[in-house]
Amino acid sequence: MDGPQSAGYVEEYLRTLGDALPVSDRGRRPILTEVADGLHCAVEAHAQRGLDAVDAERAAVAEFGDPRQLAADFSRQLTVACARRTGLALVLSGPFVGMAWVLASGQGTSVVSNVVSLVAAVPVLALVLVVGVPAAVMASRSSTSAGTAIVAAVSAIVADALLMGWLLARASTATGMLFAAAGLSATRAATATARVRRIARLRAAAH
Amino acid sequence: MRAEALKGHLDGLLLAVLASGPAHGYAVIEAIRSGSGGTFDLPTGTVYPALHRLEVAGLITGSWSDGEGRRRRTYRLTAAGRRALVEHRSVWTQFSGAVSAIMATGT
Repeated sequence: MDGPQSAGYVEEYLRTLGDALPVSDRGRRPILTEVADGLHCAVEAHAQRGLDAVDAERAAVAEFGDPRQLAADFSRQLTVACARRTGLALVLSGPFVGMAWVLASGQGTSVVSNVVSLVAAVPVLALVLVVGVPAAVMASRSSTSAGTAIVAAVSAIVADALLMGWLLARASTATGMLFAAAGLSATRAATATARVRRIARLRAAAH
Repeated sequence: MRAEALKGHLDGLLLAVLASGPAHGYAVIEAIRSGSGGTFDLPTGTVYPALHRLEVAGLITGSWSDGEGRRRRTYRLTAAGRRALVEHRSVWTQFSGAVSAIMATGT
């Protein structure tokens, strides 16, 4: 990355920035590539103003500011993006998971009667949905906050746990469709749990 | 001038710079420095998360290219970004006019 006369300031800056970014290698790579390009532009600009190679590197990293602060700024931006993606994922997956349980659980004559009997069987579910659905819709908007997305994701996890608990209580009579719905819920709950952890990590790094 | 003083206006400045044509991050911050006569001397790193935020919001779009032995991300304004810039300019004209009017009181 650096030329043969590199003093190592740029590499050290990028290493500190990379270490402070709580994202995967896949998420970290484009950020470091872009900042590296900017740092090299800065080194070239300072060299053109007459600084030698070492001083040009030192001036470039000073110009960029504290790498930990830059990581915090990136984390803040990534927190919002992750919160929004979480909200969108819950808004899109919610109807599928919900419909799978409704169709699999009921013996009623209509979808509405199936919904009524499912909510009657798991009353707390209605309360969780009253909190979780609006939170997911709000989290899917561009001006969302990490807290809203966490509320939405935790609501989904609780709803899935309630439904799977209800299924376990009647496992001996459960149909294959109910186990398929439980599979969907388990997948969503695992994904939502991972998202909550990621948002919490990003939010912690943003401060 | 510190970054805090520009809070709320940085997005408009970035969009205004990119309205002149596509640019990479370092060129954008250099344009802000030179365009402000050195008044807006932000840490260069500040510009990158801000550009990412504008890209996520759909106001600019970024693309990678290879050149000078390294990869570079270049940003350009989208149609939504042009509309947002018009709004930023309108708000700024109103805001700066109101502040100037009050500041001139009693001089």
